Amino acid sequence: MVGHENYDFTRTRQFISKQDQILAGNIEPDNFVTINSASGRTDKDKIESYFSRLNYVYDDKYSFSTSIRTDGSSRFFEDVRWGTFWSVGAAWNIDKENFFNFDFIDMLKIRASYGQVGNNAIQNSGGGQSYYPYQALYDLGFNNASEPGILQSSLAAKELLWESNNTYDFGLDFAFGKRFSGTVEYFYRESQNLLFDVPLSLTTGLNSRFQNIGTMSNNGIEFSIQGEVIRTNDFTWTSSLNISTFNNEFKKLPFDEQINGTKKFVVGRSIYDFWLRDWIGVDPETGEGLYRAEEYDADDAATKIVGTDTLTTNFQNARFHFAGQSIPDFFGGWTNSFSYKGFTLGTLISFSIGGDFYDGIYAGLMSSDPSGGALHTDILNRWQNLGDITDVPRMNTNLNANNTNVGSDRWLTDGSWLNLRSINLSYNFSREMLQKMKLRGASVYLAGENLGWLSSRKGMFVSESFQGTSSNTFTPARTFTLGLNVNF
Amino acid sequence: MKKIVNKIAILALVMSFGCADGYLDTAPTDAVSESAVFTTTQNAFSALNGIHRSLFIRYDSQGQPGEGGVMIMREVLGEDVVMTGIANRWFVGTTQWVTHRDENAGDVRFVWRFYYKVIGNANLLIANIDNAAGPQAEKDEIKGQALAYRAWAHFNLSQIFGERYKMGGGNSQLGVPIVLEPITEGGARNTVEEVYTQVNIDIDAAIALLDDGRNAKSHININVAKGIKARIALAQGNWPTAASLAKEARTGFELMSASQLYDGFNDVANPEWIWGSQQIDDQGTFFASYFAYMSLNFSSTNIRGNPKAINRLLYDKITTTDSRKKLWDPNAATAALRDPFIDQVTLSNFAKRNFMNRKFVAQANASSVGDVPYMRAAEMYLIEAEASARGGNGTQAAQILFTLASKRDVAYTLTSNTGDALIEEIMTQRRIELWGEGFRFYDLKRLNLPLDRAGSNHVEAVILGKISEPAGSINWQWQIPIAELNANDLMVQNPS
Repeated sequence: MVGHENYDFTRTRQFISKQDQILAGNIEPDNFVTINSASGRTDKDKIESYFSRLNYVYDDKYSFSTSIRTDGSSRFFEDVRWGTFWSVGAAWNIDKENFFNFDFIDMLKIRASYGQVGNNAIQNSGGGQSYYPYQALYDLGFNNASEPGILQSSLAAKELLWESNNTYDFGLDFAFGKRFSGTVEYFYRESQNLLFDVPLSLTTGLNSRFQNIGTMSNNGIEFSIQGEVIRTNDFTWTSSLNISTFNNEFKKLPFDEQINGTKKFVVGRSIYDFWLRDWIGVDPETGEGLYRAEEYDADDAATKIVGTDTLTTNFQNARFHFAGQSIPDFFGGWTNSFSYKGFTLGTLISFSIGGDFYDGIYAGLMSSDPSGGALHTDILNRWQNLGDITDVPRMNTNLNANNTNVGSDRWLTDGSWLNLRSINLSYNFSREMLQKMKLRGASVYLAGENLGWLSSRKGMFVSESFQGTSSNTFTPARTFTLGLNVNF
Repeated sequence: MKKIVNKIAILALVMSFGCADGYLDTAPTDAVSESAVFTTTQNAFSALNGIHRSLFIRYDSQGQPGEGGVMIMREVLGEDVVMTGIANRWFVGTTQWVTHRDENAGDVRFVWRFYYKVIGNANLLIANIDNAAGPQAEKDEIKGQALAYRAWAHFNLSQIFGERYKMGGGNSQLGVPIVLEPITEGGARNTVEEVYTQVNIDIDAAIALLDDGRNAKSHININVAKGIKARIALAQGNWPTAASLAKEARTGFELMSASQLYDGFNDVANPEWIWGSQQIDDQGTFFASYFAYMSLNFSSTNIRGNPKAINRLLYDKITTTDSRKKLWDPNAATAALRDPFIDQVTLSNFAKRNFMNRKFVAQANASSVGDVPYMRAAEMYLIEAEASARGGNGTQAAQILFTLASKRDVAYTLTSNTGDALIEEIMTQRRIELWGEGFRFYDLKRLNLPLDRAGSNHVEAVILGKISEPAGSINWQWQIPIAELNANDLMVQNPS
C-alpha cells in the first residue's frame, strides 16, 4: 500500500475588547463605548506525507509488517523540513503450530516491533503550539500611540528538525482455560532530537529559542489480564486488572544541568526528579525552620551545627538536593462486574503506588506569615513553646515567612493513591415482567463517579499530573446518577 | 522481489503528484520576518516605535507595566512613598525589602529582562540600520535613539543590580554584562566602571546624532539624551557635566503652572514634560499600568485598599504656601476635612487614608489609561541645582533652585542657605517634586544614604518592621534572577 496525504490546518482568531456598557443586559459590542483592544491572527500548519506499508501473513502462523513514511512540516526550514520514519514488526502464533498441543492454552502469541514516529508539535513556553519556530520574527501589535510598532519576538532556528520517537516493543498475548486472556508487554522508547523551548540568557533580549536538545528514554512493563472468575447459571463475576511500570531517563542534554521549577534535568536522571531545598525540620528551641546549609559561616547567626550537620534558618543558604521523583512504582486499574439474575454491579478502582508529590497548594496554605489569609488546619500544630516537637514552624511577624515557605522537600508527600472511580448498580427487568408491562426492555440503575480518594493528604488532587505537582484546578466532580431506561 | 520493485515504482509515481512547491512555506499574520525589518528606514522606524511602546506594556504579570512598574518598585523601596494597606499584595514584598533580594522572584526577572529587551531591540537597529535604504538623516535619528536607549537601559541595570558607583573612581566592583550587538548567549558581568564608560560612549554618540526634532514626546530627541547624560553625570559625581547638560536638556521646556500641577500628571502634552509615554485608549493595559497602583482614582483592588500616601515627615517640610502641598491630603481619613476632589473622583468603596495622594489621576475609575512621565524640566532644574551646590557653586545653585521653587510656591524667597544646608534644601525639594516618579531608591543608593522610615506614617502590617537599612549594605543590590544564572554559565550572583 502506498499513499500521499497532506494536512492543512488554519485557525483564525479575532479579538475585540470594549468597556463602559451603555444599557445593562446587552453584551453585544455596539452596546459599549470604548475599545480597549482589537487584534486578530490567522495561523497555518501544514504537513505533507508520503507513506507505504507492507503486511505479509504466512500460514496464519507468521506475520510480518513494515512501513516507511516521509513527512514534510511547515514548522521547519525548507532544507531540513522532511523527516523519514520507518517500522518493522513480526509476530508468531505459537498455538497454531502442529507441535503445540496444550489444550489448556487457547492462544499464545509473541510479537516484537520497532517503530519510529515523528513529532513536530513544538510548544512555546506558554504551552501553546508554535507554528513558525524556525523563523526570526518581529511581532506586530506594538504600535506607539498612532505610530506603527514592532518588537523582536524570536531568533532564527533553521537547523530545527523533526523529533523522532523510536520504540522497541516485545509482547506476549495469551488466553487460557477458555475464560482468561491477557498481555505482557515490555517497551523501550528513545526520543531523539527532543524539541524544546530552551531558556536563553535574558541578556539576549529574548527568553528562549527552539532547539533539538537531547535524548530521553522511557521504558516500562505493562501487564493486563481479564476473564470470568466465576461463571454459573445465575452468577457471573468478571474481572480485569492492568498494572504498568514506567521509567524515564535523560541520555543526552546540551547543558550540564537545568533547573525547571521543582525539577532539575541532568543526564542519567529523569525529567520527573525533584530538586529541592533539603528541609530538616523545626528547631524545638526557637520554632524556626531548619535546612541543611550550603555554606558554613561562623559569623552567620542563621547557621548552627547540630550533631554532625550544619543547618541554617536562612532559605537563601539552604542546600538543594535530589529528593525523589514523581514517577510511581506501579499504577493501574481494576474493574469488576458481578451479575446475579437481573442485577449487575460494576466497580472501577484505579491506583498508583509509590512516587512523590509536591503539594504547592498545601505550601500556600501553610504560610507562617500571620498577617492573614486562608490556612490549612495543620497550622494548629505550629511551634508555640520552647521544646515543642513539631514539623510546623512558628508564626511570627518578625521572621521572614519566605524562610519556611519556599520550595523545599518539606512539601513532598507520598504520591500513592487509590480512587474508587465508579460504582454502577443496575437491574434489568425479566422478560416475564416486560411482557406484563408491554415493554421491549427496561432497566433501572444507580451510578456513582469519583466516590472516594485515599491519599496521604485529604483534599490533595494527587493524580492531577504526571509531573507530581498541584495547582488550583477543578477536581473531578463526584456525581450520582439514578436512571430508568425503557424501550417501547 | 519484483513486487517490491513495482511498489517502489508506484511510490515514485505518487510522489510526482505531490503538492506544489511552496505548499509548506507558511508565515504568521501577526508578525513579520526580521529580514524585512531593516530593508528601509521606514520599516526600521517601526522597530524603534516598538521600543517606545515596550516601556508601557504588560510583562509577565499585572505588577510589571514596563518602566512604570520599575518606577513604582524604586519608590516603594524608599521612605517617601507610603503604602497604606496590603490590599492585594502588589509591591508589598518589595517595600519589605524581601522581593528584590529573592533570585526566584518574578519581579526581579522582570526588571532584568525588561531593560535587556530594550537593549536587544536597540542593538538590532544599531547593527542593521546603516544598510537600510533611506535618507541619512533618518538613519541618524534611528541610530541616535537606539544608542540613547542602550545607554539608558545599561545605566538603569547598573544602578539596580550593580554595586553603587563610587564617586571618584576605583569602580572595579561588579556591574552588569554590557551587550553591544545582537547575541544568542549571555556573557560575564562587566565592572561598574566599564558599564559607566560604555554608557557615556553611547549617550555621547546619541547626542551627536540627534537634534531637537521629533514626532512625539515618547521619542528620544537631543533634549532627552542630554537629560539622560545629566543623570549619569550626577550618579558619577561629575558635577559640571551634570549641571550643564541638565540646563541644555530643559532648553525650550517651561515649568508647569500651579494649576497644571493638579491635572493628574497623566498628559504628555504638559509643557514641562521632556519625555514620557503616550498611551491611547486601545493600548490600555488594565491593571498592568502605573496608574493602576499610583493614581487616586482607578478602581483597582490595589488602589481601593492601598492608596499611596506621602511620608508625613516629608509632607511637614512642604510650606503651606507651596502649591504642591495640596497634592496630598493629611486629613483624607476624615470626611469633613477631606479634599472634595478626592470624593469627586473616587467611589465610596475606596479607602481614604491620611496623606494619600491626588498627584496621579487615571483617565477614569474604569480606565487606567494615562501617560507616564519619564523626564520633566523640574528634574533638570533640580539636577542643575544639586550638581552646582555639590560642585561648590552655591550662588548658582540657589538661583536655579529659586526658579523652580518660586514657581511652586509664590511666597518662596531666594534661599540664604549655603553648603550642606543648601544641599539639604535642594534634596528636600527633589523629594517633594519627584515623589512617586521612580527616583528615591536611586538617590539613596548613589548618595550612599541609609533607608530611614522611623517616625513616619508607614504601616507596620505592610512593612513588617522594615524601618531602616544601613547605607551601602549588600541589600542595595538586587539579586540576579535565577533564570539568568541557569542559562548563563558566566553569570555571578550578588552576595547574599
